[in-house]
Amino acid sequence: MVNERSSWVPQGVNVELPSAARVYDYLLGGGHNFAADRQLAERFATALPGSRDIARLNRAFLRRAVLFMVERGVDQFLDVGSGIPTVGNVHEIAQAANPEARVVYVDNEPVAVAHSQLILDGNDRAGALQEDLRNPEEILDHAVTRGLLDLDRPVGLLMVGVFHFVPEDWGPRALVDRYRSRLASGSYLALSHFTADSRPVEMAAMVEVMSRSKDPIHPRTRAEIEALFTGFELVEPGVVSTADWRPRAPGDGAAGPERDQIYAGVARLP
Amino acid sequence: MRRPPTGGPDGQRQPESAVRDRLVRDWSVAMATSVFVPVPHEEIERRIAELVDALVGVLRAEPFVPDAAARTGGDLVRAGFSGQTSLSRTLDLLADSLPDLAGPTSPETDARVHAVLGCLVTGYVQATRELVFEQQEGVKRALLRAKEQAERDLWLSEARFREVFGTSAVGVAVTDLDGGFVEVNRSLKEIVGYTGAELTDRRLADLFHPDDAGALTEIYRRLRDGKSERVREQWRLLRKDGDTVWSYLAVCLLRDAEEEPAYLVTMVEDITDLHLLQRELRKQALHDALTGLPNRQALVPGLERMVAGSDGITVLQLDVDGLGVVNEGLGHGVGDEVLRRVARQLGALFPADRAALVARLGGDQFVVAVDHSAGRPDVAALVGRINEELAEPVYHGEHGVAASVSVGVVQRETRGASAGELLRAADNTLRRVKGQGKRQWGLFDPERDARDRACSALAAGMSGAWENGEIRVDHQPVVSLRADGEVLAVEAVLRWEHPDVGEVSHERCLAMAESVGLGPPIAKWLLREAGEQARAWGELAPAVGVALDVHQATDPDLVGEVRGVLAEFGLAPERLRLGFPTSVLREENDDAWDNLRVLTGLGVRTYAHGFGLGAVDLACVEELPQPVVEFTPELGARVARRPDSALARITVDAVSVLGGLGVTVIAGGVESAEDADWWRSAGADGAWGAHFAARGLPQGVDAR
Ligand SMILES: C[S@@+](CC[C@H](N)C(=O)[O-])C[C@H]1O[C@@H](n2cnc3c(N)ncnc32)[C@H](O)[C@@H]1O
Repeated sequence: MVNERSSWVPQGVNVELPSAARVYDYLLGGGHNFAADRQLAERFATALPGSRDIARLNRAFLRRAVLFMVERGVDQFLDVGSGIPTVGNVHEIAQAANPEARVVYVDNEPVAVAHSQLILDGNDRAGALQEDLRNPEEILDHAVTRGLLDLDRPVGLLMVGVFHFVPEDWGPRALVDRYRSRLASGSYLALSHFTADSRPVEMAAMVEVMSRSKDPIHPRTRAEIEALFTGFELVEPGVVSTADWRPRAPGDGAAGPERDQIYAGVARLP
Repeated sequence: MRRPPTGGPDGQRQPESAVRDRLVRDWSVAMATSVFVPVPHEEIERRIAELVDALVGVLRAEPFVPDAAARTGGDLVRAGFSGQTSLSRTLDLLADSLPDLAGPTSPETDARVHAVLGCLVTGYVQATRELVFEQQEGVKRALLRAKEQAERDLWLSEARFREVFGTSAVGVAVTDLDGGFVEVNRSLKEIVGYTGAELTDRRLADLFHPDDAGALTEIYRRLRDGKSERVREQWRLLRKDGDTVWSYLAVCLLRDAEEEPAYLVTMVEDITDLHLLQRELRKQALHDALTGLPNRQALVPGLERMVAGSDGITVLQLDVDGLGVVNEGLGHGVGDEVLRRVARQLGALFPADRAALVARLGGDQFVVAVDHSAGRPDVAALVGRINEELAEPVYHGEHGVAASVSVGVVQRETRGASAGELLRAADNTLRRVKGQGKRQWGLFDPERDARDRACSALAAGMSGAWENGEIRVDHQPVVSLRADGEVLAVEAVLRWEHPDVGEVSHERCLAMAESVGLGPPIAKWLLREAGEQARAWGELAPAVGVALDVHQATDPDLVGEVRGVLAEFGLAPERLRLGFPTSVLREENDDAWDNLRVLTGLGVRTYAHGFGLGAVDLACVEELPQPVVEFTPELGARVARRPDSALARITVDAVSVLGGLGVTVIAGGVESAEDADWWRSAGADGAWGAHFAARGLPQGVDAR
């Protein structure tokens, strides 16, 4: 007899499968991860020495970028590829500076989104939704987004540590364009991105480690990353190593080569 | 691990405050660079300063209770300083600096520092454990929630799916990558006629129609290999009972959580009925509804195929004789039955599989095309058989109706032939044949065809010739046969002096003008020329006449036009003489009769031309407002040369009847003195024709 149960219906959540969100959390020193994630993270860190510092510098850049935008009057944020809520979440940073600030978190990883929703329970100025960044319209027209953000006013669009998950055949530049076309003048884009411009050998090893995960990484050159800002006006100092983007404190930097593994930039939509 | 006591260049111990500040600074940087703490650096330093002071407090307290340092270790973690290297870097710095802050250097102090660091580690580890535990709790709750959400979504979509799956009229089959059935719905089982159990032993490919199996297998292979995501096309499946199922197949690939191809979902919409309907519709578009035979649209491509695929071909075009009479006399129902009968007979004589095509062109016309690569059919025998079959009457009520056909035949090699050309040749031949009466047939005559074509070429050159003045108006006298040679009237006729062909007659000019669309303007021109000539000849000259063509005679604008000519040339109406074709008067064409009566009323002289011998022609004479008829010129010489023929005798009778009715009779086409004598003795009043034209116009009536 032909099967009555729909064993073929895809399963939603699988903890056996490591996720980039949890690997990143582990590298940041977080405990929101599972054995499979930690194993992958260790292999990641072995392939690319300084991985923990790379993660820390990226997270620190995210904080400075948000503060920079808040100082310029931005009070609503769309954080795409937001990851697991951990230390220094965007709503905490933004709302500490401006209690009225609103934040929408977007990630395609269901556990990360569920986690964000749990944390945000009771915060009526922040919300989280699950969607792939490939679908800008789904994100921008989502009920959560519409409920929290006013797209007629400037928005801080954060794509930090996520665009290197976008392969070339998705058309990364066109993708950014689709977001840009929906943003009001005065909006900002903050973006950080792995590069193999420095330590290409170690990067190749890390890319190899990730290529067998469900989140392969595609490093890009500085010029390619600058091109992602097309249509925006980069603010000083342009696209630079995370450690060199408007550092404020000792924790924003690092001494070794790990400081140059991710490029970052912030730009304004004229 | 211990360094010598920190001292200034003079070996003196630094002041405690300086040591403390430096520890706070170094420890803060160590923490900020070992872990991300989302606060300003000043805040980090403030927290670290608190910890330093707390530790110094423990070290110096009396009594000494080292366990209190555990709390500080925990505070370190709770302040966020729990990076991978945070503890080791903390211990390094504290081991260096604490002895200088713990009081006077002594073994007792060193022991206290050791105890404090030990408790700090214990507290740190404990707090880290708690933190990780808490975080694991958090992520597990998140996981649970995500699972619940996923399951709810799944349940919802599955419930929706179940609903659709179970009740849809669309058949759905879920198969694994090898084509084994995982799940099927009821509709699918109904469509293919297998039970679920029977399908378990089968593969999807077993349902493919043999003729489509190759292509379908390839389509599924591409889907399975991820080369295409979905397909929606029309294909055939095979039912268990062997019947063909026409279906729209929509197939899509399902991937598993790892995005690997896992299952194929095939949706089957049974469109067999739709397909049959489509076929029926297509048949209607290409088939004649009455007889079911292919129509012209279907014939032409079929004929092209036959031309391309054979060495020689015979094309017969058949016209059912007298169908109009049947339709009018017995009704269209009988006419339709005759057509169906012809169709059946042709179908029986030329079965479609025997390299023959039978089609109905419409009206009473049929075409049969036979591939005669293997030998020319005996056309005479063929036509004979067709007519033999049709001669058997069909009874309709008490009327028995027999049918016959006239046939135009083309037989030729197919090299260089085209369907259009073959049909045109057959049609031309048929038209020629029909002139000879019913039940006739004839073979295509290439020479005659060439002549006809030359005629077409001639006609095509007509408009240029008219512009160049090659076509002019000539005048023929209508002469009295009684009073000696009196010119009763002058008839304006067309003459075309063709440089190659020579003189082209009035009738041919008119016919050709009609065929190239020049009829109306030339006829108008002729009328106006006649008016102008009448004025030129003056009042005493005979009236100038024009034999109107069918078009002009029925033109509602004719009266206006004639008035215009009269006015333009200042003519009295009776100076103009207009002939109406008997054919339109006979048909009781209202426009023609109106024109005739109004013009006669105006004073224009009118008559009927092209008069024949039919009873209907005679019947309409009584209606003529002016009793003048002009016999068709075809009779002119013919009857006079065979005075004993029936035709001649009937003509004599007709003329005498007309005379008795007081009708003036004019003969046309009189070519010789003998012809003129015959008509005179038959009782005709006047005549025109080559015989009189040759004698020229009387004095005073000269060409301008
Ligand atoms: C390295 S984390 C970055 C987190 C945070 N933005 C930061 O920089 O600290 C990258 C996140 O992007 C998410 N991600 C990867 N590909 C994505 C996609 N196509 N759509 C949405 N999120 C994606 C991952 O699930 C992960 O949570």
